Amino acid sequence: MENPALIELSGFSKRYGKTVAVHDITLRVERGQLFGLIGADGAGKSSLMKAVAGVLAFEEGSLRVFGTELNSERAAEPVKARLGFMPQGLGLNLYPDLTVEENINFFARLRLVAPAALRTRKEALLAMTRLTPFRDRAMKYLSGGMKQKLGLICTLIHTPELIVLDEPTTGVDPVSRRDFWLILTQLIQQEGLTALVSTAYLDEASRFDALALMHNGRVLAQGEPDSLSQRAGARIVRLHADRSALTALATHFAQLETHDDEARVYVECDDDLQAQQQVLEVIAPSSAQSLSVHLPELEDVFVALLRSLEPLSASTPHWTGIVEHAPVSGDNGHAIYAAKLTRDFGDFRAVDEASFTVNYGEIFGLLGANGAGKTTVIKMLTGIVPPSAGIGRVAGADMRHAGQAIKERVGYMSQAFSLYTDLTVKENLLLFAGVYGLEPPLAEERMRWVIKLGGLQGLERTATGSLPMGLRQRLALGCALIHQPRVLFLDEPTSGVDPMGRRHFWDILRTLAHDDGVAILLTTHYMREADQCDHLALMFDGRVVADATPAQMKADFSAEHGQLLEVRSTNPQQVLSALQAAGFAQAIQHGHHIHVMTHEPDTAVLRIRAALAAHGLADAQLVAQALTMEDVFVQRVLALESSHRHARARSRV
Amino acid sequence: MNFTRLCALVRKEMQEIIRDRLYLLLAFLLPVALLVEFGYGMTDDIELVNLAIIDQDHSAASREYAQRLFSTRHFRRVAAPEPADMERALSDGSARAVLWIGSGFERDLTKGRTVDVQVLIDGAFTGAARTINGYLEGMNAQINMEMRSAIQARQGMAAPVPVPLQAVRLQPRFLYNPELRSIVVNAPSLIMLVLMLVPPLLIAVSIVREKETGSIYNIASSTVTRLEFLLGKLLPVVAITMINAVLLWLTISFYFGVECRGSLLQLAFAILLYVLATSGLGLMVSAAVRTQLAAIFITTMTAIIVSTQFSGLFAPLDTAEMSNQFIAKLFPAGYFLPMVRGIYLKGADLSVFWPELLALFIYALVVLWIAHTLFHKRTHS
Repeated sequence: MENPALIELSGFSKRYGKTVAVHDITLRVERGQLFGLIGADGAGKSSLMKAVAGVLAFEEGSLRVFGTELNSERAAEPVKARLGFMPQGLGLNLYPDLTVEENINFFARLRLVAPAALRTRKEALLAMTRLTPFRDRAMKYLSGGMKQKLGLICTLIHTPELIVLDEPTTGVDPVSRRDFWLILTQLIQQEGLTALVSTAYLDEASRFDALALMHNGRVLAQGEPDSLSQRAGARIVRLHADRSALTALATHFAQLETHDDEARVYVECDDDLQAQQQVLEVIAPSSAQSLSVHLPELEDVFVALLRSLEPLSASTPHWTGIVEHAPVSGDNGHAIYAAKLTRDFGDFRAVDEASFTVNYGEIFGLLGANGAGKTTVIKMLTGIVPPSAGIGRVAGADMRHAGQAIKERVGYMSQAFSLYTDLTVKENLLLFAGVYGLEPPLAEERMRWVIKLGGLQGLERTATGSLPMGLRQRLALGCALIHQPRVLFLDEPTSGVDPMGRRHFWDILRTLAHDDGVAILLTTHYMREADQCDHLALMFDGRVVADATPAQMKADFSAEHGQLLEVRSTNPQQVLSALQAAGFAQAIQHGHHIHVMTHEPDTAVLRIRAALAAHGLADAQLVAQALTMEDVFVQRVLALESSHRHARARSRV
Repeated sequence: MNFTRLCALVRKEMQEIIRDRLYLLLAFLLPVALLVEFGYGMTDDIELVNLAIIDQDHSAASREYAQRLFSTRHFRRVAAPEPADMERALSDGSARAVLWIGSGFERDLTKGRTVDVQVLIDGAFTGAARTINGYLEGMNAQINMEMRSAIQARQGMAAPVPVPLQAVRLQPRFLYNPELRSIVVNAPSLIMLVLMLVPPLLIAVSIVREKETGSIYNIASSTVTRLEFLLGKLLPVVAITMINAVLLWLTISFYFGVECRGSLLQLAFAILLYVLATSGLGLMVSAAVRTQLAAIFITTMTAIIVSTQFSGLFAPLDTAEMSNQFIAKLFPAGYFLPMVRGIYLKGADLSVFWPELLALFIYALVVLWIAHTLFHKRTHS
């Protein structure tokens, strides 16, 4: 007998006026599933989720939730008692002036939760999310991660059977995100919940039971995450090679990522050996080192799908030719020089003696949880906020006292892209040219330069607001570059942009840095992007706690914690408890996978196999995995947080 | 309707209002501030109006006449323009009014004939113009009589018309006490204006704010009914407004010194119905618009236009054009103004106003019904 689907869409379409937001979607979510909608801003995720929650009318197709056809406002009402909906925007649906507990109480009363039941459930959820100590704090004073967890409690307080969470992790740092996923996974298992969750982070895909990849209102692919990777019929070949070999690869393979001398090649071939051969037909076997073949990651599959949609994108950007400025003297040629930069806001020390240097031609990533002090560092360096102590110099000068000539060597692109959406592409560029004091003939010339290099031809008269996110982001970068700065600050430049757009963007950044010698300092929550930086600094509690290349950071971490082993199973919860019982206390669940760190992989493998066999879980796969930047980031921050707590506990005694 | 849910909504609303300082300020300071501001702004009193006198008679009588005009604080003498430049003096603002005393003023006066004195008044501010005219006419009548009897007495002739002794003694201050008059008439009317403006504003801001942040989805995705939500917004604002009504009454009684002659309880009842109706208007606007800016703009403009133009504030409604009378019937201000004036100024009993009360009650129900029809938990965008 077939289980009735909890959510069932067929031929579902949603339009806003003439704009089609969602087009002809057919999708099933089974009871008990954690179902993911993955896509960039404007993919149609929110419209779909609002329709499922019964708060948005749609034009075509059918939508059944709990077997009820949601075709009118009245029909949607009975379903609402059984579902919880958390709209997009970090904590925006909560009431800022109410405390944590008052927020929870309000949602509970709204949902007619009996007082006794409310008391026990509230305590349990507060404890689980570790918000109990903050129950009397006004919601507006919570951190991003805490707001997100409070939102989850409020959505869950009436014990719904289905929860719909719209981008709950957007704008939240990797540590808080992992925390959130652990809590959500646990709740889903405990309560037999069904969850429809959207995200713009592809690296969260492995956490879903099933998912749909969305782009421009369509579902490009759906299914279980692992099967999506397998069904793609492709392999990733990783290798190290010299520059000429990499160039040869780039001309043969359309989908290729390079970083220094390393390449990841997407080969459309369903066999490891053949895939390897296809690569080796292009370059001499002798020029390829440490070659390995992998299943593609979901991001690779997504990019391949997007590529098939827009095979020859006329808008492929081509950035070159930053005009050489006179060499900048001072600070031993450092583009950015921060020495014991400190900033206090009242009693609160936002940045605590942060020191680092960025060279010309380098992409420098500043990582850290929300509130770690990243934005304040950028504000001090760009001269917006004066430091309380320490030195911050950019292009050889202190930005606070720098004259116009030096300020013109610096470009800044903010998170919100700060474009005027009512202006056309051309008008935005001319406006920024004017702001930087370029005279009309030069401004016109630079505008044409940016349009050509950014692949924005033909869009000059288009209103910026109607551009897709990827193009808007390139235009924002163009505006930051119109005066051809030597140092570029980018604050979360790629949030909300699809993976193709992000790859184009990074191609531009690499060209700017490596060919034109521009120094780039950026912040990001995408750990895959952190991996592509030339140098990283990790901030925690206002301090710079690690400063190295990505490879060095991973190597340091390996030396300290050992090799990463991944156990893949259809029954991750049982695997986790089996491993914990066998003495792997720090085993962590990561979607369907369990991660274990060990210094002795050989003996650990044997012990894990024995433990799994003893629990009848012998079908689980065991793989030695390369560390990702996310593993490093999360573990480092967690370790720092726990020592921080201990230190504070001691100081209180 | 479920009272647990309604109470939850009202309680949350009150908690938010009490903690949001800006909203609190808006809720409690704005009404009294408006009252005081309009109370002074709407006064008809005028002082030291620039007045030019063109005297072509050059007689003792004409000089005396002019002198008497400037013996009060109402007029200030400015240089007389050439007769041909009279209009320019007004248009460039050097004078607000020009008096032209023609030749033969004294002669005609002596012979007991009617003397024509031309007056030209700046009509840009209709209210002020009317007041200036009133002053001039009043003073003219008084001075005229004094002068005529003086001249007749000098010439030993019998008065052609018996002049009452008392009229001569009339003090202009008595007759023309505009400051006192305008505040007495206006202050209670301002309750109408303030309560037309503030409750819809408060409601619109709080509902549309939820639309903007997305917290409206908490309501839309729950089993809260539309009526519960609307009442949950309406009741706290009505409660706040009734507190405000007390503040307004205190300000009018003690600050402006105008006491209520009728029953305070009856006044409160009339205000309650009026506030329900105006708040309902706010609900209606909030159901229809999406941004706070639009909500504020629409409620404020409506309130100001309606309460100044279509309520009977400046001119009685029953003498207004039919179209204006019709528009006035569409808003609660026109029903409320006669009640508040009647109770406050004349000590009238509320029972006289039962048609207005009934109209306001029906009005409140109708706007609530419209808001309920316009507000949806499942929208198209």
